[in-house]
Amino acid sequence: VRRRGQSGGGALPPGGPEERFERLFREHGRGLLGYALRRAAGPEDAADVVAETFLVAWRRIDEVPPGSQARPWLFGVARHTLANNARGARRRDRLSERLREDLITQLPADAGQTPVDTPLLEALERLGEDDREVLRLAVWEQLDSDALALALGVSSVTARGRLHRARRRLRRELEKNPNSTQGVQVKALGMEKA
Amino acid sequence: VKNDRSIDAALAAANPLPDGQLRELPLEAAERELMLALRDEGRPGEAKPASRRWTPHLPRLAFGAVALAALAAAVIAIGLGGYGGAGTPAYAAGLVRLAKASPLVLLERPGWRVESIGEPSRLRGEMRFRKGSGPGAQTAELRWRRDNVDSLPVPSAQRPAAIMIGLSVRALVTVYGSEGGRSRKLVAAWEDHGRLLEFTSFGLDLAEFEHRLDSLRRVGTTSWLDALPKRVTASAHGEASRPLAQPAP
Repeated sequence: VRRRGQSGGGALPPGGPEERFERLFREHGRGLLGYALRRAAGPEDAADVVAETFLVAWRRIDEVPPGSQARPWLFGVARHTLANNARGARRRDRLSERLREDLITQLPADAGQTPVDTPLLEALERLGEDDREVLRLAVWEQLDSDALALALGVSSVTARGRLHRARRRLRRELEKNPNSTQGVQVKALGMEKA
Repeated sequence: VKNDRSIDAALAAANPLPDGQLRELPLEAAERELMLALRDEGRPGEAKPASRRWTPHLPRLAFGAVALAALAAAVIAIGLGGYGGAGTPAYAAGLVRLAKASPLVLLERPGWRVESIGEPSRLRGEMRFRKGSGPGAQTAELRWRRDNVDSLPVPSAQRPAAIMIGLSVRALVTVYGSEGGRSRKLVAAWEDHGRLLEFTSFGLDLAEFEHRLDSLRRVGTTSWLDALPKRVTASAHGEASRPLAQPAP
């Protein structure tokens, strides 16, 4: 299992910490926001997750892996942030106040309500959190197995195995209940669909 | 759903926020503000920026306790005979430093008042102005941070207007959202002593916004402190449970 921040063994990108952090935010800020919006209870929480994740990245800027590995590293931090936030009361971070406000006003009212495959999403919700997350990371965030490994803090072999099993379980769920639209609430951008 | 590829395709189609939609969200200004705010946060083992030592010691997330202590000291000083001539309170040094950390800008139009202030430091801060109450109330915000106009992200669909405002400076005005829309927001940005100031109003047309911008005035420290809500100083008298920056109930 690779240690975070040391995977890949690449040299740190050029520039001082501030420059590296700005570049990291510029390149991955929007992607991380998308990650958070697809998982958090609402846009306010998503803004806080982005702020908290990048605060960790700033404080540990020397540990952020270079190049394409930075993105899954950030997802890994965000994943822990989301899990911690789910366990405790939400702390509204003043740092993210404007992003929160802008998200509330700018996020299209129909975001998350586009026609979707409801039975599929319901089947996804019936899976365990680990299965659900590995599928979402692979498909929605388009991570390959090495990036999945970094985001999940496991080896590439383990990540591939988890993805394979998660797909199999999702397929089984769909076969068991191909048209079910009952009993499960589907969360999309914090908006629950009955 | 028969194989991995088809299950991935179905899942991709069920993405509640596709990347294309995500990229189109006009959040560049808010993102940059967050990035700069985070960058101003200290890192372990890093000396704080010199400019931070200049400011009153006001932690960002726990503003209330320290600020209240400073204000309490200031108010006590006033209570002990700190009033100047002609009935003008001679504010104590703590409050004056607080004022000087702000841009000392007020919206001087009939009916408008300062509703709240937050995190006043040289590096960043904000003030909210309000006229009226209830659903018909109007609000405006003044934010400042260490930044410059050239770095401002501009929505690709428009060219910001550069207009003169009441402070005799040229401001760059950016409009977000369509006219009459609920998310309509107008932001005027200008530089002031190494800081970027942004004045924001909501739901106005451009002419109304320009009119409002004409009412921004730079004032002295006493006038600025006079304009703060009375509860700010009242809270310093011991209502420590109410954070300074919170709006009135």
